[in-house]
Amino acid sequence: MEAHAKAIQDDEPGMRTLALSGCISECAHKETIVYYAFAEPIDRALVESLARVGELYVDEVTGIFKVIQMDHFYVFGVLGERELRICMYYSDKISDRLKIDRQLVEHFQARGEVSMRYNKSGSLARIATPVSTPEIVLVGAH
Amino acid sequence: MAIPERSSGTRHPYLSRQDFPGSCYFDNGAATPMSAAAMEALTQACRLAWANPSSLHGTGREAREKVLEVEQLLRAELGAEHARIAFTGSGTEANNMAVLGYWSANGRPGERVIISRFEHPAILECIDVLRQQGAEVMMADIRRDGVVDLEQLESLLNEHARLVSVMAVNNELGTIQPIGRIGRMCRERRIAFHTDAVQAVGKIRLSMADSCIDLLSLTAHKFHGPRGVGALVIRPDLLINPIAYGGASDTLLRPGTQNVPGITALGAAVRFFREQREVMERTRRELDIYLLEGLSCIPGFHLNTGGAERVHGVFNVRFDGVDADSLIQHLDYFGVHCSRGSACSAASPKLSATLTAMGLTEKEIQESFRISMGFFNAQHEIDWLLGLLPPLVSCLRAMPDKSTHVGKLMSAPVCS
Repeated sequence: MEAHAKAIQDDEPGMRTLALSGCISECAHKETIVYYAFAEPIDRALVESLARVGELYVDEVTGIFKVIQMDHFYVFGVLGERELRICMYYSDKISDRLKIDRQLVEHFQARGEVSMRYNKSGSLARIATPVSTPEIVLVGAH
Repeated sequence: MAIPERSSGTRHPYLSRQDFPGSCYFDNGAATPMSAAAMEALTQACRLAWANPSSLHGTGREAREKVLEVEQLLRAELGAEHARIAFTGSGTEANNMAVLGYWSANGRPGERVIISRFEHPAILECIDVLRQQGAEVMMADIRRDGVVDLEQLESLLNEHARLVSVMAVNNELGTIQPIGRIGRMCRERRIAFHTDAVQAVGKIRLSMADSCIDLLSLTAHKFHGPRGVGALVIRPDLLINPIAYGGASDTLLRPGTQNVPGITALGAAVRFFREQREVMERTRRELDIYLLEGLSCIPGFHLNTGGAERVHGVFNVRFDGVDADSLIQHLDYFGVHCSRGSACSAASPKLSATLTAMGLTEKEIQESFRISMGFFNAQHEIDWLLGLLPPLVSCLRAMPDKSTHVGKLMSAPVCS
């Protein structure tokens, strides 16, 4: 079931989508659940970058990781998969989400040039990177 | 501190969605997928039986014929010869109509209505309205195994009792209620008996005549029919008032143009389970045994209803020390779709009224969720669920959940 991961597509000429984000369920009284879908499998560097927003736990049997900020949210996913989710239950959910957005943006910025697209609420909708110009092969140059 | 990378070859060595690329739908208590027969009936009726069935001309009469056919089918299925049938837009509407419509036509201030504590909100939320209209509403208790306490219920049936409402199968638990005994207790005392059979129709055999049921609610989307079509089946000599008003409310009970394609598809869904009943019952029973055997091997597993009789395939379960919301999220991540209990209250922060009435602790309720299988589920889906649960349960039990900073760490916090 990779419904969200399948949604990864390059919708802007010259740009390659690295991550997409959207809401799975939104509820004023209970958790609001947000997904991030990635073009590449989740690696440990990405998980470690999230550890700046909470306590990180990794289960080495299943690959499940969880980043918890108690009474605010937890982020979970599986190493090697392409999706992570945040379950937020604090009243100021948007500020919690922005913290995680920021970490992900910083993570991808550290790897190269990226551009972001945001939702009306200011939360992250997409991270993309410019596609490098392909090398021109000069046939018969030698 | 860096997390060491595992050498993984071509694919990662952990739990992986790639091992089961589809999805497993185990939330049939919320809604079932439509059968091909119901879909075909729906589209055909949209093409051929689209007229207003109240119209007196030929096209209208053709539509009316379709509705009458389904009425006959429901009477035959439900052991309800000559019953009046009011098609509604949902089971909720049918429940409202049963309780409020019956009270409006028959109740007098000071008279009593008895409702079980674990009724659907479609009944429970009528209580305030009944009380405003002068009814004395009493609650029937639930035993620890999720069955109505008959002795206590009987003690409430005094000479002022007018109506009893107890569901046939509980929506969160799947437990089958002793509606035959309740019906007979009510009939002996000339008290009307309503049963919300939304979770029962298509799963257990029902006879309104044998069980002394005066009013019965159902909805099509719980038995592979379309969404948005329900019905209230009413004993022929029972007086009931409409709860909405408009054209033809005197004859139809529910005003408004009838949803003929939806009603026709409901009929197709009823025919489908009547034709397939034995295969369905056998399939559900086999899947039930298979899943329960697998679940029972997982440490800390509890079936909340113990040994009470359930409809096959519906389980209200918990695993010690595992928050159900978190487990449901992780199962969903791996394509397995379950829910806390009632879809109608999934977004509510309140504890389940059903599990509270059974006497579960707050912690036990937070750990509880429902797995509801249907006819279209297959053994390989159960295998995927049973493969996921042991590692997930073990992992989530060891990690702190959203509200308690306890739990033994499987690997120490790597960064913070």
